[in-house]
Amino acid sequence: MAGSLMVRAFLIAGLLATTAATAQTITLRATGSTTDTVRFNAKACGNDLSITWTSTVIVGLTGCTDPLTVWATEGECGDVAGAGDVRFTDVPLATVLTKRTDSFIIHLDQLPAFKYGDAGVVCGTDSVEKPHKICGAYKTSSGVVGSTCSVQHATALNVIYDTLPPVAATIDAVSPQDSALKLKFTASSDTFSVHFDARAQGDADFTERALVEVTTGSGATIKNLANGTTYDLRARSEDSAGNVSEPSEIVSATPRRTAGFWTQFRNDGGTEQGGCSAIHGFPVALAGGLWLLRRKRNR
Amino acid sequence: MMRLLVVMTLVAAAAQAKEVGQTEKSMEFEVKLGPMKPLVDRQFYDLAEQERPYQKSFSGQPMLFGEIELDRQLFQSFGSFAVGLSVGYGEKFGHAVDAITLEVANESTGLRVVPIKALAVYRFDWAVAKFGIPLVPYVKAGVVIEPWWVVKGQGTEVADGLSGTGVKWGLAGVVGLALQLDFLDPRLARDFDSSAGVNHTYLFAEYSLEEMTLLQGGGTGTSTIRPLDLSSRHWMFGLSFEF
Repeated sequence: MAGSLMVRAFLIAGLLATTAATAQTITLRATGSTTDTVRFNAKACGNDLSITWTSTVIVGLTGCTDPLTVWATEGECGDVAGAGDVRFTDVPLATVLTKRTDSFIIHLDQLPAFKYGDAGVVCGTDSVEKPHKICGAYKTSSGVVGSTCSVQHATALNVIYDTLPPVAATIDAVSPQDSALKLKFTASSDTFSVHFDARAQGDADFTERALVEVTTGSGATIKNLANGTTYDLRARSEDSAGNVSEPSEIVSATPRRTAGFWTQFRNDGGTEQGGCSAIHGFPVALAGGLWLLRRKRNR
Repeated sequence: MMRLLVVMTLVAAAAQAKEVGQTEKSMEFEVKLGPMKPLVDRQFYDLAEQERPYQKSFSGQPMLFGEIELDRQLFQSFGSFAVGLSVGYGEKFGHAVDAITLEVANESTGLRVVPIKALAVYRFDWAVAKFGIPLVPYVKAGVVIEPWWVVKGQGTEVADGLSGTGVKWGLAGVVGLALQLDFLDPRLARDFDSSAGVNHTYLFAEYSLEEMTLLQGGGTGTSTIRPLDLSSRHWMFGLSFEF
């Protein structure tokens, strides 16, 4: 009897400990995003950033009453905000348990590097990269009576002030097509999208003619060009912070008129008109067939 | 080979003879694939082979063609008679050429077709039902409506101000032979029937003949009228399910 009670007590304690230890996580993300990194450049310095915390707490944080604290740091997330960190908000434990998710706003120019004038850096300084982490911490216990509260860390969000432009993409190959030029390009790993500019040779200014996100591939087609006109092409890379590189080296190519199957068919003397012209005989044939059938039946 | 066929037939007949308690059947569904080469160049026999449009654009290669067909059986007596509807899709891509130098360009061109057929179908499945011989010859005849379009680069090709799209019509005839697969595992076949309602499964080969320029003029290379000839003679291979 005593042995059975003991086994049951162990099982309950184990279950509580396991649930408390594995089922409680809090994640910090930019609102509307699932990625763990947000980059911004000097143009966004006056902006706010909405951050959402999401809790997957399934059982209560038994026995612990400290709120969820959130702060920004230039270093690694510790157990609490340290000197030189910026503390944003505390979320009461009751809110974490009942609401499960909520958002708060931070001002980007209040991040530690700017607030404390880190080596003369202010929000707006060019050619620097300042990584920050938005950290969170809360306390939980195993749930067993008498157990102590220990610090748990939320999954941090990286907020990076980035004013370093990416390396310009290179245009590796250009294929002339009918009223178009097809490009193959190579972009650096921090490139988010590539802008392609074109100008007819002799013109002074380039015009942006295509924009390709690198996740969709390494090719682009510039359409609506004039056959027989030579165009200068260049690429500019943009990173996820919005920094745009210097233009790549210029390559030149000339779109040319091509003949596909339809053109060759017509050039060789094909008289097909396309459209529904060839179907006109169908109702005639159908009517003729029905007439013959009816005539045969009447006999 | 002949001996193998005889053995297979006897095994199938024995298996068939034991078949009892089948569910009712009234439909047949087919899935088939095959190489199909439209007889576009038939209208250009006066030109050298290498100068004909389909040959130039696609090296004369057939398109990979797939089709599905659903038949509704109207009577089952000495064989079965059905009406059916089929929809197919085929495409062939090649390279466009420079319009002036005729050099091969780095731009694709393609012909796409979607033949839709209304068919009358007769299957001589009396022998399989009566004697268990697992071979079912069949014939089909019907009307074809065939939308087609030609693409170049990113869109539909235009030549002489005419868009390369259209619809053709014609007649189709098919002869085929189906091998009923139930004899391979009669128990599994019965389970397939009782659980999914599929009475029989067939592997088949059929020869299809389509004439798509009827009443549209054109001949075989000497006429001044040269329609886009999507006629074809081709083999198709597939699986069918009778349920």
